[in-house]
Amino acid sequence: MTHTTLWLAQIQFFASVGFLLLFLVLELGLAWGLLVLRALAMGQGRVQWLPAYRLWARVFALAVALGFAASVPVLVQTGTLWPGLLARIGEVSAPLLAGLILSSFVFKACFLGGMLFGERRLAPPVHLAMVAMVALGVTVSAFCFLALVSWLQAPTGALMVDGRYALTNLAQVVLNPALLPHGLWLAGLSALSVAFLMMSVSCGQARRNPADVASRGVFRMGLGLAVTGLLVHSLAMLDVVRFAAEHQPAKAAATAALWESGPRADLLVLGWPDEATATNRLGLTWPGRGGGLLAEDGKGHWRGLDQFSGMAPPVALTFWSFRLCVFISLLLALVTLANLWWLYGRRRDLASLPRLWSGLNRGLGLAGWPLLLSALAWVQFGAYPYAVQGTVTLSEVLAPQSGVSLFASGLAWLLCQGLLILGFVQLLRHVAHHGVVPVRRQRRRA
Amino acid sequence: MMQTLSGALGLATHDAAFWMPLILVGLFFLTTVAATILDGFDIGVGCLLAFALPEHRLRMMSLLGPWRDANGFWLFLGLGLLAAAFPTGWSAIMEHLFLPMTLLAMGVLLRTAAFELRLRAPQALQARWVKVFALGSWLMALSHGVLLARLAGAFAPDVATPVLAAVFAGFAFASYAVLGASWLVMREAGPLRPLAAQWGRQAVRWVAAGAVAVSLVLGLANTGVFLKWGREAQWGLIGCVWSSLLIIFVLLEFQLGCLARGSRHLASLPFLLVVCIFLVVMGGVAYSYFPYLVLDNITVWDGAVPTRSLMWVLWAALLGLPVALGFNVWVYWGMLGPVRPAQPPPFIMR
Repeated sequence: MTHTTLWLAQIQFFASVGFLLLFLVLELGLAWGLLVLRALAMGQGRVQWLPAYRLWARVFALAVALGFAASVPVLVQTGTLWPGLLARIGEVSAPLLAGLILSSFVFKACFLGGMLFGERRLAPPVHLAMVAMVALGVTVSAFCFLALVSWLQAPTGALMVDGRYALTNLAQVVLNPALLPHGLWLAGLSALSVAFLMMSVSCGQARRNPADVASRGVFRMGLGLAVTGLLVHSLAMLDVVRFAAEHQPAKAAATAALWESGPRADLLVLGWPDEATATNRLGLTWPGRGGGLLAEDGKGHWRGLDQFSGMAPPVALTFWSFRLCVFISLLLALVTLANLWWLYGRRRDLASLPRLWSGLNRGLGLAGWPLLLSALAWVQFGAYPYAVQGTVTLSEVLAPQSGVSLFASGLAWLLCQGLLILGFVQLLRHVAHHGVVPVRRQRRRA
Repeated sequence: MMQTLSGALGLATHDAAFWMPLILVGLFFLTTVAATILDGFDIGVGCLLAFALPEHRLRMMSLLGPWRDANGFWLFLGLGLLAAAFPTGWSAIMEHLFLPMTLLAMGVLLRTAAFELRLRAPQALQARWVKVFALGSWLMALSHGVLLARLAGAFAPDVATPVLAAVFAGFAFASYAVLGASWLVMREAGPLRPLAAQWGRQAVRWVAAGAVAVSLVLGLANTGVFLKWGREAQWGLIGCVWSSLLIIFVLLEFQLGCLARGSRHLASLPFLLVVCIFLVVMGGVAYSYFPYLVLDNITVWDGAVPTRSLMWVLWAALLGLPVALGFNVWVYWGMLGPVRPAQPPPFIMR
């Protein structure tokens, strides 16, 4: 029974954090993308960029609103689903949460209104500065969030005393070994999400309106972002795998689906890890190349799942979420290369893209989302059974709730999240097809 | 009182371990009050959407427009402050509040998202998001009632029965409805005003019943609270509180009645009176709870993180305070009065 409740709680938490991240990556990527667009629109004769800025500012505004709305449930659920967690890591989480709240408040209070509602009122350089400050603010908030989440993967800078963490060095807490790989990953995922969204929308615009210059610019920008994002994302995945091998050996073993430790490990590219028999079924292996994913025990043996006496994540889930992430990345890389070839290899115009190809580009607008969710699934479920790597388990911080209430609340959450995602996508399509109608907000007037 | 407290804890009053949690709990209380009142009229208007005619609904939503972003932030601020500064207290409280906090978070999610989606949606889709906004407001109002029932019963399962929770949820709903209605009465001079005053009149008696019920449950279910209020010296205070509450309720009922019949005078008075009621009730609950976060179990000092970590929270609060003051004064300036029409946008050639 506790096993069921534990997994119901985990899935509910995964859904909430995933829902938050969907909008956070768009927010983060678009904040910097908008800074570039706003800077491009500065100066004489470059106003054709302004409509593009306005359209993406609308998408950004929606992402900010939904991201903020989604952050309250995540905060609440850290308390209602995992009530024991903050009691144990409170000393570490306090400065990071304070930084998160302060930065998001300051950025919202001082700059966001000016950016979204003041474009026609403010002098262009002032507005550009506002956009820059918003980009900075979003990044600082995301950094605090990331620092806390990555500290859970690699708890440094604090000591466990009487079942609670005591802060010893805040710099070490913030700059924990998991920060760089996971930060890079978030940056790459965020660039990819925004890149494919930009390509999708501008591809449709160029098709409907062949004379539109800005949509081609946005497409090229998206393409550049996709290339950068893919590079950063691949680098980050290599780094994350190295990090897991070093700090989370059980996750590494589950990702490689290595059941028995030994001097030789084959790389299982595809297959079905069967936990009941502790073997892999239907394997497509690459003999002898499994070492890249795995941890070594110092005697030249690769550490397999037999070494963790049950304190290992669910193997199939960890294995497949990682593979899914890799496969989606490969698909996105293929589309990016094809687009590059069309635009720069054959020097053809965007509007002349074959119908099917253009349809593919338009359909992949939110392809960053499944990529992100598979990455999150690997990070979160791969850390099982730990809430804080190596010290605090999830089951000891779990709320004393019945399976029924967790199931019912989880279902209600999924309904809410599904409704809002549908609403977001619907509005996105509307904006992409019909452009934006200005939304105004005047303080004290209505 | 501070001397007694610091003596009981064995700390000097100038010791950081003594005053830091105290300052932060004060800030937390202020944020909670702001969230209840400022986010509260917002919730109230949202609750009343269900009773309004379709042609009034969009007007009610657009009246909220200028404040919505500021209103919605208070709850996040309060929750974040509690989680950051008082993690032990947070854990102990949250463990008992699964249902109300889940409803609350769901309400926040739906309300915040629906408002923004409606603002930017094409006209054909707006009615749907108004409904979602109303649903979120209902969830929030009801969850506050359940929350209050749990808090007043000090999480004891025999006191916090489903019946009590349901009754309190009804009271909370009525309270937010009155707050929202009196805010509408104050802001809107058009045909919406008598309607809003009428809604307020219908709900106000339930608010009075709720205020009495909260104090009764809080006092009778918790010996500590009963003793605290029942001390000899407090009878004067109690008398003052209840007689002023009675006067406020009578005035409120009378003024709402006048406004419902079409009077145009003192339209801001009901809102101010309702704010007074909220302040008195919340002040009473806070006074009963202090210095505990979990009644008779975890004090403010037990619940807080050690000073070396708390210091960072305090610094963040100190840095944020001037921004918060400036921003909120700027946003809420001129709210206590009828709404002014929106200005047409300036025509600029660039």
